Parts: sequence; structure tokens; C-alpha cells
Amino acid sequence: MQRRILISGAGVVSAIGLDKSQTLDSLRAGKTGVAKVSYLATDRTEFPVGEVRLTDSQMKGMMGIPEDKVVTRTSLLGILALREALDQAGLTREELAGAAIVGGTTVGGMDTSEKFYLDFINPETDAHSEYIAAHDCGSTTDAIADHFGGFALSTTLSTACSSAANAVILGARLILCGQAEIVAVGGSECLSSFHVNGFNTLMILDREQCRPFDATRAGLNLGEGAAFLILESEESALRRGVKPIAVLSGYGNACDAFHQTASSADGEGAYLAMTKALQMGGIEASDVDYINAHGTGTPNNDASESAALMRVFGDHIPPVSSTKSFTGHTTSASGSIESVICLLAMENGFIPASLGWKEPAEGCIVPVAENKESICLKHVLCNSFGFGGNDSSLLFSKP
Amino acid sequence: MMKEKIYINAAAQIVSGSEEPDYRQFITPMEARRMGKLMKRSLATSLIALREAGIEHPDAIITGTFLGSVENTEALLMSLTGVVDAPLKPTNFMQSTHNTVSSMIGIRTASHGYNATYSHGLTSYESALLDAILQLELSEIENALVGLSDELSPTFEMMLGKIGVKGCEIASSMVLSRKGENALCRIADFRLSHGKAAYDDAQNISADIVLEAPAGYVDGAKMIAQGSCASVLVLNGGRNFDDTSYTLLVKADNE
Repeated sequence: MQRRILISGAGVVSAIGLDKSQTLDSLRAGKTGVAKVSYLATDRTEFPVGEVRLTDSQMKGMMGIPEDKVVTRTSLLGILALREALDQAGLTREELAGAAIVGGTTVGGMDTSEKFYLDFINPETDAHSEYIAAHDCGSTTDAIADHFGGFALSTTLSTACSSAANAVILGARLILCGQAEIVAVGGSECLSSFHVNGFNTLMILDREQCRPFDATRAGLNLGEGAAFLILESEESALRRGVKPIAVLSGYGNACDAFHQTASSADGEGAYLAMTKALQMGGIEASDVDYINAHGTGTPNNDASESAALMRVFGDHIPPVSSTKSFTGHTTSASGSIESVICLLAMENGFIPASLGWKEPAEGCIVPVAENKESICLKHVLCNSFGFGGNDSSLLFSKP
Repeated sequence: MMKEKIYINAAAQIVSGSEEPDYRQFITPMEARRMGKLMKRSLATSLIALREAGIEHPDAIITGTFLGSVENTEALLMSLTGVVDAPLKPTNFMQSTHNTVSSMIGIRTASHGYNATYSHGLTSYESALLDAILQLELSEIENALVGLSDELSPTFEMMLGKIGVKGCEIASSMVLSRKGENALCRIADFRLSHGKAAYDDAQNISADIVLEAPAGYVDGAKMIAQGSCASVLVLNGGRNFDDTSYTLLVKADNE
């Protein structure tokens, strides 16, 4: 990599915590956030989900947003996470004015669109029309950006479950090209009846807590949340006197080019994404100390990802875990939420368990079943794969 | 921002009201049944642009879309809210995600390179273009297929009308390259910006795309549907690029 991309701030909100400290505690205690649905209005109560334990009103209250202001749940989650990241990075208003923001979402304002849809499509009424402008993905990122003000550039990736990981990649490119010194990158997604029902049509939701890489795995649990990282050029961090948390030392994006919603048996897209990230980072496969897998818990994903891992790492696969049994699959936000989990693991020297894993599965890797403590993690790989074979891998290293 | 020379080597597009190509060239009747108009059009413009550029597997496939497949999203919402009494279909869900077009082109052209989709309102296309330009500048890729895909339904059109947005239908594809022997034109400059203070109602997003092309070669570089979908360039004719000619500024201000 020509220039080093530093990470100077991180913020996260998910079913296992409203910030990094709560998230760390839950990971270390092996406490899942996946439970029976209680916040989302849905008839599909048979599927456990990972919900953020706050109502929209509570989030607005926490952030001083007027109750009647139109801000969707996806944006509120993003604002909460970005606030923590900006605080850690210690950015001033002036510094923020020149910064860029790259968000990732697929659902966007769908939770309010489905709620007010009958009014939307009724030409006789203007009721709830203010929510129409909050429907699309880009408006989500703009609402997050505009809460803080500033941001000279705002854009949004929408590559399904790898959206946030791809947002990290674009942010890195903006810095590498000298287009920005500071970029807030991440993703945000709330649960909606739209995607709970949508995923159900694909028959990939488990009625029990998900068990990635386990022989009895039967699907995924959906989750919600957001996370943002502050990427910064080395020059800027030096000038501001900021100590980086970690370095984004490599990234890879590749297309499985196999099927709209299924992964190939040999995991070609995942293999290429991981290989590119390692190449860019200038490290060998054997240098990787931990992999946070995409590991959704569906029979197809975990088998395909395992095949790709075996191709990249051969007989020496580093410790792997999927933290989706903690958070649920937070879809578009998962790439950034799991990136923050990787940073927490690196900073605190531990590997989070692949909760719920019991029995080895044929053709699958054996994940870390119990937390490993007192481990020095120098290089960590974070995988995010999406529908359409949009596969991305991020490589984080100790500064 | 441009340090490297980046060229547009081929372009094709279909907009509302324009003539639709003969889809049988690109898809079988069986495939056509499973594809909505957005996917059919985008596949056609992509394959035409790639053919003209003489590229089989582009290094990057990047698409911008404001609303993705409205037909599929609408079918799901109609079913969810009980407007129609029909079960949700998996195909509708699969095709409602915005990255459907980019990934379909990846599958169709067996391209395992970079693949991404941007959805950022009226600057979705410019966002896709930005990504491609950055990768070409960084020499991560030699060429990129960059597109814009949007469709409308009468219901969505009415819905957008309530907030003063005039949507449009479009499928547009361009091949960008670091090699410009047979280029249509060169991208001389590109800027994308966003600016809004906290709780300020005035949003100001602008995108400038500066193209250089020899007079007479590019006979139509104009914007379609300014302020509705995005700035889209229609490029016709033209070969034998000579970058000493004139500068054409295409500017989009979506306020």
C-alpha cells in the first residue's frame, strides 16, 4: 500500500451493546443479543433476532433530536455509532467540514416505508409524505452526516450484506488518492418486516439461535445495528497528534459471479477477496492471527466460505470465528460491526467464540468454540459477503 | 483530481421513450421471463458497451441506482401491506436488492473482478463514476464498466411526485479505460461534493464532470433528466481521440 490508512476512531451499536465497552463485555461474557422479537412490529415471531434494545424515541432523546423530526431507525443507529467514533477520533467541527462520509445500507428507510405505504400510494392524501424522502439508501447516509454537519462528500454503497465493508474500501481509496484526509466509513441497517419476510422466502432463517459452521446449522438470525470507523491519512493523524487504534493494511473485493443469492462450492469470490487483501497488505497467509468469518449459519455460506478458507490457508487455518450468533446477521452493517469487533479483539488480545458451535460439519472449518484470552493479534482478517456474490475482505493490523 | 488520463471508450443507453433494442440478441426468452425491465435494459446496454470497447471481462463493474428495482420492491410492499392478496415471492426479494444489476452482469460476463453498487439519491451515478476513477488513478484496474439503472412504476412516480421529485427510467453503461486509442472522449476533471450544516434545510449536492473531446466527434454530450435521476451523458459517434480540442463541461446541481 502506497500510504498507510490509519483508524483513529470507532463506534458500534448492536444487539450486544450500545457502544464499544458494552460490546466488549458481551463478547467476553459469551452473552448473545439474539432473542425473541420485541421491538419490530411483525407477525414473524418464530424467528429470533438481534435487536438494538432502544426505541426510535429513546435514540432521539439520547442524541437531542426533536421527537417530530423525520429520522429513520437506520439513520438513528448510524448517528449513535458515528457519534462514538467521532468522539474517539477527537475531530473538531472544522476538521469535519473537509471530511468525507461513506455509508452502507440496503434497507434504508424501509421500516417507515412499510409502515406508511398505504398513505404513500394513496394519491388523495399527503399524510406521512415527509417519509417518502427518507425511503432511499442515500438519504440514510445524508441524515447521519447532516446530524453532525460538515462532510464535504457523502455517498452510499448498497451491495447487500457487504455494503459496509465496501464503504470502508471506498473510504480508503479516497485517502490513497489524496481526495480526503479523514473519511467516516461504515454501515447501518435496522430490522424491517420487509427483509425478515424477504429472507424467509429464501428459507434461510433459523428458528433457533444460529450455529455458524456447525453440523446442525439451519440458517441465519437477522440482526440490526450500525458501526463507523474513522479512517485517516498518516499525515493528518500526525498533525492532529492522534494515536491510531489500528491500520487498515489491505482490502479485497471480488465477485463470485455464480448466483444471485447462493455462493459457489469452491468459494471463488471469497477466495479472491481474501487473497487480494493479503497481497495488498504485503503479508503471507501464515501471518494472519484471526479471521472474523462472514459465517452466517446457512448451510451454503459456511460451506462455501470454508472451501475458500482452505484454499487460502491450506492446512494452517488461523483461528476463525463468526460473531453472528452474538449480534445476528446485521446485513449491510455487518462489515463495519464485525470490523469493530476485530479492533476490540486486537486491542484487548482475545478471540471471541463462535457461540453455539458444537459439532464439526463435513467440509467446514472448525471455528473457535470458546473465547481465547491473552493472545497477541497482529493481523486480523474480516470477511463480508453479500447477495450476488459481492464478496469483500478487510485486513486490519496493529499500528 | 485527475492525475491519470482516463477515457470513455464506449457508451450505450436506453431512456424512457427511446427505442428498445432487440433483447433476443442478449437473453433467451426463458431468462427474459425472470428479468424485469431494469435488468433487461441494463444487461443490454452493458453488453453493447463492452462489445464496442472490445472487452469481455471488465476489471470492475460498478452501478449506480437511485431506487433499484421499483417493480420488485413494489410487489413485496403490496403483498406485505395486504394491498394484493399474494404471497411474497423469493424472486421479488432477490431482485429488490440494489446490487442485483451489477451482480447479474458479473454472472453473465463471468467477471470475478471488483463489483459494487452505489445508491445515493441523485448522485448515485456520479458515486459509481468516482469509484471507477479512483481505481483507475490508483492503477488497481485497467478498465471499468460503469452504469446507471433506474426504473419507475406509475405508483412510485405518483409517490415521488408528492415530494416534488420527477423520476425517470434509464439504463446507461460506459466503459472507462486508461487506454484511449479509440476513445469517445477523455474525462478531464471530476468533482462530487456534499454540503449541509446541522439542521439546515438547504442541501447542496453538486457533481461536475468535465469531458474533453474533439469537436465534431462527440455530437451529443448532453444531460438527461437533470434534477430527476442524475446527470447522464449521451455519447455518440466519434473515434480518433485528440485531447487538444475543446472542453465540454457537464454540470449537475441537484438542489
